[in-house]
Amino acid sequence: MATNPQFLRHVRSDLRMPRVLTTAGVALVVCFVIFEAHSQFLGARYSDPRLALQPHAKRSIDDTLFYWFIWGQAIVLPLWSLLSCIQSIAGERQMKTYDFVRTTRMTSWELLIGYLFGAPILAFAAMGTTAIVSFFIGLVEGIPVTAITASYAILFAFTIFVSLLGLLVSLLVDRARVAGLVFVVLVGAVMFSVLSYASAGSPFPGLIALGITPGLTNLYESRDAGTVPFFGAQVPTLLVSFVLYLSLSAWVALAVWRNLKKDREEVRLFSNLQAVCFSVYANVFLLGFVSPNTATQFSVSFSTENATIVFLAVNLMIFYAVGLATLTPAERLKIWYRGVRDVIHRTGPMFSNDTLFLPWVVVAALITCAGYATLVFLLREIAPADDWLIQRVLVSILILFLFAVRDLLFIQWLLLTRLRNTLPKAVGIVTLYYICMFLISNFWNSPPSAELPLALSAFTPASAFDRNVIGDAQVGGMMFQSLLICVLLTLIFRRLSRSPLDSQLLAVSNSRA
Amino acid sequence: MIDFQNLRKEYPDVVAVHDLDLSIPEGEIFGLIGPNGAGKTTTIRMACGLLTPTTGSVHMAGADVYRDPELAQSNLGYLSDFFNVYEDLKVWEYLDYFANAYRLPPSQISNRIDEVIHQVGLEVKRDAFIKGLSRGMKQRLGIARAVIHQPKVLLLDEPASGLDPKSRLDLRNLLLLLRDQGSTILISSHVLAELEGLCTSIGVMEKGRMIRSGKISEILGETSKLRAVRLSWIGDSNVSTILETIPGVSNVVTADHNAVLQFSGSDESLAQLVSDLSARGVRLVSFCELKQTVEDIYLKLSKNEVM
Repeated sequence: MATNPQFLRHVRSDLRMPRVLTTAGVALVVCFVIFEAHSQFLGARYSDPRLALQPHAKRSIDDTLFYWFIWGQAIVLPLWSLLSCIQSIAGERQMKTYDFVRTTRMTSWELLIGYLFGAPILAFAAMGTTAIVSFFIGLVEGIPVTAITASYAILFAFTIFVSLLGLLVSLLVDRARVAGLVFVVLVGAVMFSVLSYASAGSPFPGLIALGITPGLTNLYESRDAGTVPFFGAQVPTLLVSFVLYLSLSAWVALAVWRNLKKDREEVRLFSNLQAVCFSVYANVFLLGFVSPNTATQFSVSFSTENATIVFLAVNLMIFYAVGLATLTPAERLKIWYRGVRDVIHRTGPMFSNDTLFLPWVVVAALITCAGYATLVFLLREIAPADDWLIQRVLVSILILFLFAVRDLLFIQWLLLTRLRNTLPKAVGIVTLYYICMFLISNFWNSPPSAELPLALSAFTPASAFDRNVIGDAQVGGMMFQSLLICVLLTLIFRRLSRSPLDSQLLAVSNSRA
Repeated sequence: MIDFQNLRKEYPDVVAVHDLDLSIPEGEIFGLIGPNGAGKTTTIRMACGLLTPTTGSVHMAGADVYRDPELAQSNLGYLSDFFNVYEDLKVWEYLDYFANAYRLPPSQISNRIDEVIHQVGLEVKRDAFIKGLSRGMKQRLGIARAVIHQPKVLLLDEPASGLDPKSRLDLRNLLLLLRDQGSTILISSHVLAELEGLCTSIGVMEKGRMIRSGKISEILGETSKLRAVRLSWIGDSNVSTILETIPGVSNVVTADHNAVLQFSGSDESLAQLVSDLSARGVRLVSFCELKQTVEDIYLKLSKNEVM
């Protein structure tokens, strides 16, 4: 790290002595404010006569100052790092300095490390100051050193993960607009929190480790981390969170690393093989959270249907992730298409990395089927699935597949147009579409309407999560999506065939394939 | 030194560069000229490895820019038209960052920084923050950055944009110095006066196509076999009539005691013209050949079209 030019640049520009002293000073003032607020809070609590009757409560309330600090840091450090990383590459691109960086001999790995730890260096400096204070307070409050260290380890892992996400966003946009950043941060935070908390009573309790809150809370309340099932064993939540963040960070880092030295228009997040591996990884981890031995301990009534709904919801996200990661830049897709159009070389470039994403989402769907078979096998003794449920799930996977393909084809089509900043805008449009559908369907359903299932089936994948028998609405919805997919494919291929055929292009694309 | 082979770049609705074949030998200053939108910047960005071509290849000092980018980029320095620098760094820190990024041996970096700072005349600003530098100084710092690793090839995209006349002159001198030190330079501009007296070869681009390239002298010879001459005299001689009788002279335009004419012939014949005029009693005050400028060449070759 000390010899990484990119990191050193950030250290030199951001950590000048006056700035460091100011940052440390502000951080210490904030520490003092937190201390004062905590004292006020304690004063208010002790004035409550009900608490005065509970002598044992005094100690547990007194000992919360460390946790005020750690929660403060858990909010500020990831957010500050995220915003710094989002602005790093996009900011340089805007300033026209990024081209100079790309023409140096620095490797993508060096650039990644340099931006990851360099861009938020001031945040690290500020947190370093407060960490010293909170470490001291933790020791005074009698919190074990291992617990304090574990708290910072998970905080660091989470920060690295969100910073990498920030770099990924920064790689995909040409201008770091504050409004857009806030939107991304909010959507990400909400999705993470919802997924984490929704999984608490689900058949996949390990998903709770996606958030840092449960691990930290357990560490505080019981002086020992709570546990979640993880590949058949009960593992501390904090450790599972750590493993999750490290592995997810590795995937995001791979996507950033692959594309750091590419032009923004040429970004393709994963190769085909990497996308398929990601699909396998996500399914394996998801299944790792199911523990037949502990399933009966869940607070909710456990059933294969409950497990199926969570499984399908996560796999829908995997479909989108695989599709988005294998969206092909317009120019590469055109070259691929010209190669495919040549009768003699039809099979040559069919599965190259310039191909349409479609085959890889199909592979992801097959992996989902295999994953579901594994899930049924794991739960065969405590909650056996009948043939009808399995058939119903296969239809649900098809519905999810169709919706994901429809949306992804729409995004791919937008990539072929001259729309600027296509990917973020396209993802935004699809997100807004589903928000609108959600609001409309709720409005429509009050009072409950008979037409709602048909409407939902036609415009959203909600029917995939329906436990009822397959009805006309679902079949109609699938046919409608298939029609839309055909229309989008026609539009895409019409765009692709616009340029005149060039024999040299064909020869080169075939040789590359 | 720089080889473009079948280089082509397509955007969704336009072909920015059409199958460019071009070879620039070592030690040349090659001027890429053409109107805005002609494909100059796209060509240079592909040469740097910043853009992947749709088809074709670029070799930089023997290294393929796309297959072996690290080796190719170690041989090239790049400067774009309007750019920024890291304003919160000092001048020496900025150069130190790029020296390390280009993997210069650590023991040589300090000396090399001093050397380039001297070359671009920023000695007094060595320890100053970049945000305090003028636009011209920042441009010079940009040049220093581009040459810090002593590249064999310099790719400059409209490097004089936004510079005042003095800074333009400094830039020209600096480029000539670098050429003398062995660098091969590819420079693009649509301000043709910038390239006058600087380039040894030029290429004229329009609508993504290279319509002509080669040594300036060769192109001059092709674009015009006639030489333009201007002369002035004193006295009452009927110069116009005299000139029309001399072989090789045409298109004589006279006004007051001045004339502009076209002459077809060698230097020897031109010298003979002066002697003939004197022998016929014309008292010449001045006699000079009007050299064609890059602008003249461009206007003759180009249809003045943009995409």
